[in-house]
Amino acid sequence: MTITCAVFRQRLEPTEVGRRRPDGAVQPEPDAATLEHLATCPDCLGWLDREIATPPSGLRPAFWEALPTGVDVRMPTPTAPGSTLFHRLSLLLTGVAAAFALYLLTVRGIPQPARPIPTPAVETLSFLLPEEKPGAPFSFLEPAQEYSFVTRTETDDSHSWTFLDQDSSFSFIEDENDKEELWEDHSRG
Amino acid sequence: MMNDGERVALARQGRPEGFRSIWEAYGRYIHTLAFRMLRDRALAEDAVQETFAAAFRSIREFRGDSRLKTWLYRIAYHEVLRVRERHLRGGGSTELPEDLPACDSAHADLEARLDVRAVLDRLPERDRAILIMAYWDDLSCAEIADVLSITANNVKILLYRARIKFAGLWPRADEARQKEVAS
Repeated sequence: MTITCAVFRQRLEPTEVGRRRPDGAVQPEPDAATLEHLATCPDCLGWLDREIATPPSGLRPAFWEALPTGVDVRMPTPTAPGSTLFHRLSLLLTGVAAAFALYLLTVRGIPQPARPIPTPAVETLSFLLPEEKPGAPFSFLEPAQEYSFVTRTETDDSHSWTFLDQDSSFSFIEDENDKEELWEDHSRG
Repeated sequence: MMNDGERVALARQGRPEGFRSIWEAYGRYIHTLAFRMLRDRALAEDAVQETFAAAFRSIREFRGDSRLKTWLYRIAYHEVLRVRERHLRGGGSTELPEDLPACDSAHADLEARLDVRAVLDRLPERDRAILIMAYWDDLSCAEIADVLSITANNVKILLYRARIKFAGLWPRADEARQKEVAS
């Protein structure tokens, strides 16, 4: 909608002269048609520029009140840029650390808490030898007769068995120093 | 004597002389703006402190698209509104306090100043700010637009209206008009 110059100038008249609004509210903004006319009409733009070029009567610079005397506002301590830099640096480092942690999680998987190596419950399942007992809770794919020494390790969520032939079993039993390592290797699969 | 670019450059490096120079160059302008808008010495001082604290904190965000003065005015304008709102929320009077400035001028001038104050007090906040920035601080319409986050043409219209409001309330309007005619 376009408006004429006369309408434009009429719309500039204030509608709430003298009403004091401590909350800072003001009368409605100029509408789109008014602003559009001002942007496209050189005559009205020139006229408005001339109108506002000088202060209104009474508002002469000499009448501006001076600041109260004795005012001494101290400059606030400019801690900001330093702290901003520190703050940004901290954020950057935190971000890098987080990204690295995310990378590790992605690549290496979520680390599990170190679980204590279960103390192997070593027992000779002699009942499996030389042949499985009827009704035993376990069965094996390979014939048990080949093994003379069978041990079982039980953890929270698994059971494992170690089958040693005659020679190995003697070695295992005789070498006490290697016993723990041997069991550790077995328990870790 | 530093220019604004040098002041900002130093301040961005965290150099105290940069901040000191900004304060010395614009502290009084901002204080005057705050005092004229708030009309209270203590509130104005609060606004000035908060303006510069905020400016120093965000000096790295000043990109030089506008003048440093305009940038500070924009911060100050919003701080003034915030201080006033906080004052009102805290039970402060909606009437502007009478914190009369010391004046050693002639009695007639003092009367005239008080009249100007009385008229400005009756204007809406933004009209008062526009009149102060346009006719006392000599900010261009584009700069005022930057401060108020509106268009320059909008500022012209608001300034035109503010002038009419002021003139309508000016008690010596007739007297001034007669003098103009006589001269």
